[in-house]
Amino acid sequence: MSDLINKTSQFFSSGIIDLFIGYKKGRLGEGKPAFFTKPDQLSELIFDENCIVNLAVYLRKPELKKYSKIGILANFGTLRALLQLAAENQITDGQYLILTVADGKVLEFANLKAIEEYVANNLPKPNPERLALLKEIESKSREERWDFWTRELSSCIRCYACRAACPLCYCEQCLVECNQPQWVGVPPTGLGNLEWHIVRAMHLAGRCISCGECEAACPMEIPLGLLTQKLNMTIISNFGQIPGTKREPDYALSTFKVDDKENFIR
Amino acid sequence: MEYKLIKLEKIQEFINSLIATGKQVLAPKQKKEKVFFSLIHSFEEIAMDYIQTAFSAKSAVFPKCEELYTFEKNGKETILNNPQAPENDTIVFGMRPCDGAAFDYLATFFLKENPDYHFKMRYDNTIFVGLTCSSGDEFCFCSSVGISPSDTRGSDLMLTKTENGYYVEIITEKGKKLVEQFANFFEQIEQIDKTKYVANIQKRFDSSALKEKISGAFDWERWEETSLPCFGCGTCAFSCPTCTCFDIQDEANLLGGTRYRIWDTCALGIFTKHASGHNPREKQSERWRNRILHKFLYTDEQFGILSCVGCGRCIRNCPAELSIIEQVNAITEG
Amino acid sequence: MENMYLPYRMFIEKITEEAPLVRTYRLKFKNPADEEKFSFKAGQFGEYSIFGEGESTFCIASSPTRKGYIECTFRVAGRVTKALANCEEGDEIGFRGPYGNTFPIDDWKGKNLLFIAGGIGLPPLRCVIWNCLDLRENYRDITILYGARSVNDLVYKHELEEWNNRPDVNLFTTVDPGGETPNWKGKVGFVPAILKEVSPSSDNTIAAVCGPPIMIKLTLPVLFELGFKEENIFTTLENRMKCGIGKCGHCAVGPYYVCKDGPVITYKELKELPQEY
Ligand SMILES: Cc1cc2nc3c(=O)[nH]c(=O)nc-3n(C[C@H](O)[C@H](O)[C@H](O)COP(=O)(O)OP(=O)(O)OC[C@H]3O[C@@H](n4cnc5c(N)ncnc54)[C@H](O)[C@@H]3O)c2cc1C
Ligand code: SF4
Ligand code: SF4
Ligand code: SF4
Ligand code: SF4
Ligand code: FES
Repeated sequence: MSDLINKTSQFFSSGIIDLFIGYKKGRLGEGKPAFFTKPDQLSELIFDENCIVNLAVYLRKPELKKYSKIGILANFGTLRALLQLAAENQITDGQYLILTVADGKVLEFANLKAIEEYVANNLPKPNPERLALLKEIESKSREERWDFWTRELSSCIRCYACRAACPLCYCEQCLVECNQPQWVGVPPTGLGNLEWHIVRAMHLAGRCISCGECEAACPMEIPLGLLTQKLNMTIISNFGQIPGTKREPDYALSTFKVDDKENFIR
Repeated sequence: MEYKLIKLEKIQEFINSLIATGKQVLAPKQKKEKVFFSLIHSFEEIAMDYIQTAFSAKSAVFPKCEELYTFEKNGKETILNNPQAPENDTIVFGMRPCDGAAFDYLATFFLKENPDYHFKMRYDNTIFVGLTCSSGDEFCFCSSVGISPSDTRGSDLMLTKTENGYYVEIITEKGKKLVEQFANFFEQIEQIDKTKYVANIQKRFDSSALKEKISGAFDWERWEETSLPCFGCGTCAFSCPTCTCFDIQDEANLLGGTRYRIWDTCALGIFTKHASGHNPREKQSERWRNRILHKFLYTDEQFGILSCVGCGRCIRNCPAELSIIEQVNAITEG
Repeated sequence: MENMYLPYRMFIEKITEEAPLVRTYRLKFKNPADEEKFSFKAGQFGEYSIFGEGESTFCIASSPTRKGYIECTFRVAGRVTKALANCEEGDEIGFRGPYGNTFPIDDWKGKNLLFIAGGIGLPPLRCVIWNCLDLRENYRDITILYGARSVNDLVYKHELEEWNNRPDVNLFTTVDPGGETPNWKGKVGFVPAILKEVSPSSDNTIAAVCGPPIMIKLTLPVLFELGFKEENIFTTLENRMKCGIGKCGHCAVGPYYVCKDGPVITYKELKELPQEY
């Protein structure tokens, strides 16, 4: 940890950064997001496998505009989010100082390409428990699946915490807030909830970097990450594209190829 | 005041008879990792081992989505219909004293000025059965906001678990009626000293120091710095027992529809945004400030009541782990 | 107890096209009993609804002295106003109100009145202007300064003419530079500049100002220069609203609810509020 604190502190003193987004000890000992503006605050800085919040979500905050250069301590999900954000032209190469800690060593990424390589070499296998859960749902009949999801989604209160926590839900105006026409019903009733979750999942299909923040933020314990995960798996198996691994645009659902195997698109 | 005892073995029968007579019983129930107030169908469903529910029971009187009225279109005419009052009484069973105090605040807020038809309709039909806290966690701070873990405020009946069973304080007429209706579960008993059954909840901040500082706190320079981790998910408000804000929305087809009110919160950017695009609270730090000041200053000015009851939900639920306790301490420290 | 959210059923008796995307509706009660029990005062507002689309907040733009109907003037801004604009004469809409506080016109007796409005800010003042004109003997000089972006954007064109022809009203109309037409007889220039030029006396005078925030911001210094006291300058606030009755929380500015403590406010009071409007 002292290595991390020393390095970060040097970035401050040499004027490379004026804000550092990292973690400090949270309520149960896990890391909670923390913002450091002075080197003397860094004694609280921590990083370990319990630092799970995806800090990339903060980069869109207007409050951060006043800082000239921001450093960010990225866990794996954050690195993938940064790549995906770059691929979607939301951030540029070199805009942030990006650090991570691997095998006890602080890594500073020279550029997005370096992150790309790091991510490619460390991509984890999908969590077997989640896969089993997905399999279980897939094995249900249509009617059972419908019952399962209508039951789960009926408790949704439409707080949009899932959206707020997602590093890739950055639209200035979310589709659910467009009211001319009102695409998605606002009241948290059956239909509106279903529409919202379809919209959310579809807009993240092939973009979701599987950090799990949406589900973690949901106060109602809805397993909504399963929806995006399922769509992602479909995209990966059909098009071979893994979101959050490339810094250049590479997005199946907005790519047109003359030799596409589907007729309707040609 | 009258006092009763429900023997431990009788409590199950009592709850089950409430259900059997058609009462809607809302009680703490486990759902995955958390405990929520839910409609229960038998005593076994009630969760016992938890500090506080993830959400309060406010939805009993202020549901997440509620019909204001319905409309039917009949040519150029429109027929408007009032919502139906719930047919059966609702019993909120096992709410914590902080939540009881919160219902007290809600009643003041909704009924004092421009009394709210929908709230009253549900409130009048709801019986609140409180349960004394025998333990707390580091996020409980009722005692810092003038509420005790055995407070009877807002409860119709107050239960305290003792070696012999549940000690019952009959607080209101409503509570008395319920006891009379189910008299065979209750035994007569003398008043007891509850102290040894009550949790000791530490003071987490100095309320008089806060009071001094809070009136000038709007211009405090650290709002932005202290709220940076907040990403505006709104969970703090949705789970808060005293947050009352709502949106009004229609759902309709060509024949008619419903005008609903649904939970909303000042934590969200569009809450104050005008159609012109102008937003009086442009930044999350301004929204966070509004939340804190609403709880600790504005409702005090309006009704003479702090509207934070110290339940700690906003802290336990915040995905970014913001803490209202830390915030208040930061304000008092200057 | 009454369901405060249930609106009165009204029908649109008359539609006036005021300016591009701005219309005035004259509304009458469908149910005579509702009309009987309804009363309001200058400065109040209501929630106008299109069932299935939602509600929108507008001031009552007609004067309480004109009985039997209310009028509203609105600009198409979003979902509800768009749906409203699609209505025709005879159509039914909902109205609930009146809500909010009022201009204290009784306290203004024996004083000079100066009304300053910009663009779509005239409707709230039109209510109080007509109210005072209908009780003309109570007040001394009445001066109205009204500006819009262009001649086409002026609302209540016929009434401006009527006021212009009245000997007991001093009316100044102005349009922004470039907004004039060849036969425009009013002034050309922004409201604060014209106010400076007209330079009305602040002696025993109440000023009421309504318009876009930028206009209000630039007009206030001119009023102070003219010697107006903060407590004699009135304006109306506009915040996003939903319930109109102090419950939904949307309109709150600190402990102040625009819908029930406002919308009418003096500059003196406004200065005390947090800047959240
Ligand atoms: C006290 C008061 C008096 C007003 N008087 C007039 C008037 O006389 N004429 C006029 O044209 N406009 C007036 N407005 C502004 C008017 O209410 C909004 O322009 C209008 O509600 C937006 O229309 P919408 O519902 O079509 O927009 P949407 O964008 O579809 O709005 C959705 C919701 O947002 C709220 N909202 C959006 N913008 C505003 C806003 N600027 N102010 C308040 N609420 C908003 C409304 O509650 C509306 O239901 C007044 C506002 C207030 C608060
Ligand atoms: S966070 Fe949960 S409750 Fe909130 S909108 Fe998303 S799914 Fe619904
Ligand atoms: S729960 Fe936390 S992150 Fe969400 S709005 Fe409240 S303070 Fe912000
Ligand atoms: S503000 Fe937080 S601690 Fe206070 S009552 Fe609300 S949820 Fe509970
Ligand atoms: S203004 Fe904010 S803090 Fe206050 S009740 Fe509404 S949502 Fe809760
Ligand atoms: S409009 Fe709902 S509180 Fe003012």
